[in-house]
Amino acid sequence: MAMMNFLPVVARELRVSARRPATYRARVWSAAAAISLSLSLAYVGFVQLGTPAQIGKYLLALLAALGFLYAQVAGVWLTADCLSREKREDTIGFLFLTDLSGLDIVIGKLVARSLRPLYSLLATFPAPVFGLFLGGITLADCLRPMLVVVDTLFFSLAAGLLISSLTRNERAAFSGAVLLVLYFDLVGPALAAWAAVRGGPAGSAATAEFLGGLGCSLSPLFLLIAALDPLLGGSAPPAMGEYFWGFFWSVHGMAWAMLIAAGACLPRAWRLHETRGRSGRLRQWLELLTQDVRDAFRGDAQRRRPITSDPALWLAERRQPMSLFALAGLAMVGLAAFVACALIPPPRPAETVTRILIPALWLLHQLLKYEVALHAARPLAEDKRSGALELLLTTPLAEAQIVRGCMLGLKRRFLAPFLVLVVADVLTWIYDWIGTLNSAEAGAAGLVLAGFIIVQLIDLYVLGWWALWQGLSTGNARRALHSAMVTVLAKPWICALFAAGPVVMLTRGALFRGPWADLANPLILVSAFVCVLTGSCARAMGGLQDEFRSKVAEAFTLKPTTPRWFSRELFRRG
Amino acid sequence: MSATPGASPTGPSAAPPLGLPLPGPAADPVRVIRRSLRCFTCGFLGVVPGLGLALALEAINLHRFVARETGETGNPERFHLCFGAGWVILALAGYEFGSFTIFGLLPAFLGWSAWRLWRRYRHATGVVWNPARAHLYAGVAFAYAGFSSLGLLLLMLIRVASRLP
Repeated sequence: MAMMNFLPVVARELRVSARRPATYRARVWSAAAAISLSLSLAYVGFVQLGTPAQIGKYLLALLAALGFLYAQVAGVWLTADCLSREKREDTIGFLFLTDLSGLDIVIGKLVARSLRPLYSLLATFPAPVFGLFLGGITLADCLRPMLVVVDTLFFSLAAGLLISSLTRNERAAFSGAVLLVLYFDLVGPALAAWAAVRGGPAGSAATAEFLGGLGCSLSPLFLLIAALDPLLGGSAPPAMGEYFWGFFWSVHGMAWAMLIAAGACLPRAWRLHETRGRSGRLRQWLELLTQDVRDAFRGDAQRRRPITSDPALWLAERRQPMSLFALAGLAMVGLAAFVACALIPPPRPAETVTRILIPALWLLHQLLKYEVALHAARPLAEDKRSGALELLLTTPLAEAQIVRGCMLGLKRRFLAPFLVLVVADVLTWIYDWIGTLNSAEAGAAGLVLAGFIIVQLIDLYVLGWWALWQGLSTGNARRALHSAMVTVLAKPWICALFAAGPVVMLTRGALFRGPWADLANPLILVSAFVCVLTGSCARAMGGLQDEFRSKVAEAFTLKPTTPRWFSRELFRRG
Repeated sequence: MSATPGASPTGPSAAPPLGLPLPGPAADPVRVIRRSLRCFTCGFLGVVPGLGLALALEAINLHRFVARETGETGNPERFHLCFGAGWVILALAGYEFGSFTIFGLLPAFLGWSAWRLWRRYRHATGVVWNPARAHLYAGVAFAYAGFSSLGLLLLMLIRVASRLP
């Protein structure tokens, strides 16, 4: 009976996915990206490195790392909101009117959502095999990372489904899924570090080693490291590669456990909002007790200013508190940095402490960017969907005033956190200066720090504009957030990579050797950053200025067709 | 190119015959003028080689949108792609026959491109009056200048790099 139920759901979902052109487009684009990346890396490798064996190894490692990242992000992205959305829209109850069980629905969703990323990953797999022809790697070396990537995809899909089965809220679902995957990724390294510190003659060495081993074995990141370890030279004995199959089965088992847990939770959790009684009263009590704290995060105290002073700003400041993801991330990064610093043996060298603090601060800057993008993307997207923007445009408020209010709200909200981070950066630099650096090194480090702070500020500014624009034009906060993060954080690096390729090819690598390399590398990087960020900012600001009203009203008007670069019309003379 | 239905200054056009797609939205004169001015600004800033590449591309995109919206005759995509294809051919010729070929052909190519742009500005007519049309084409000219300066910079880099050990 279970098979009877399970297969129709899967078959139906697969049929729907098979009809989507995006499924095939994703496959073609990922294969093209993998091939172009392999060829450009091979070319650069021949110019810079020389030995084909080395190139093959680095190519395989790079593609495996990118595939791993893609699997983690895609898995969470595709599944985190799939069940919670059905709960919000109250459609999941209809499924339970049939003979379907929770597990049937969960596996159906898993198969449907995994099709596109799985196709994309399978399409990229021939590219690393190119390394086999270059030599230096065996077939087993080549197959292990592929297995890891597929297993990681399964793991992150299962994590997303588990969180989705427990929540109703979109933001909570995404935050929870990302945190769960990050927890499994980072708990292994943290416990292993603890085990390494506690190891040796200490009394709790055996416990520490056991916990370290347990954490590592459940971490997909460690699984990848174990797969690549024999390839990239191996670590100190016992080599990580020896643990590969143990890690693999642990991660795989954990994914199945999460899937079964999701199936078990779903029939119980979908009516959770109707529950009353002791837990409901307890929640009310907690809400009452934490009212002041939540008000502080919401900025309600600021909102008590009269609406007549600046209505657009008043509206922009009526938003939600900091996301769970940001709060939990803040706590995790802070705690991890504190624990790591505390674990360093007593004469704590400043250099080691700084090495821990700098990545922690960098992570906090990224969290701040995420928060800025989220808070910029939501207001216009939600107001457009609910129709509030149309009502707002019937008032004497001008479009420019609304946009200015949104930006001002963002600045007021995030100026203080940004300044706190800048102060922390500067304090770390001073600590490093006093501890280890001489004045020349400190000057150079100060210049790097100043550049870093300027780049962060520019990133935040462009992120705010782009997320506002995408929120308005798509009407979907999640898509706007995704677009903003990709455009501002990933696109400049991708552009730098694609700009460096032709320059290396045309100059036969001459500009990237010797003294010219110190000039050419930063020049290409800075050009790519300036080019992408100014272009995005100009597009967003122009769009918000010129197309605000038409974007708000596009649900009621005929949408203008965007002219395409390549069409049949191209061959017509004119 | 046929005029955008419903975009005529004399009022909405007649209903399309059965079986044809619905008419597109009417041109918004305010949007057309603002986009034309923005095209000028982006193109002007896009002259800076390399750094202004994205702005130059934005100017070209704005020209395409405005040309389509105002129903200008001719195919704007084809027009810009011809310019790009010319640069690609020039680069390939230089790669194959040496960079002197490029420096020999470049003035002719740039002159031909400028003449095409001028001819389009003079003769391509739209059904919607655009008072900022001169700004629109000036923006495109600046963007072309930006692309050309980037191309020249790359050529010089290649020349310098070929002399390096």
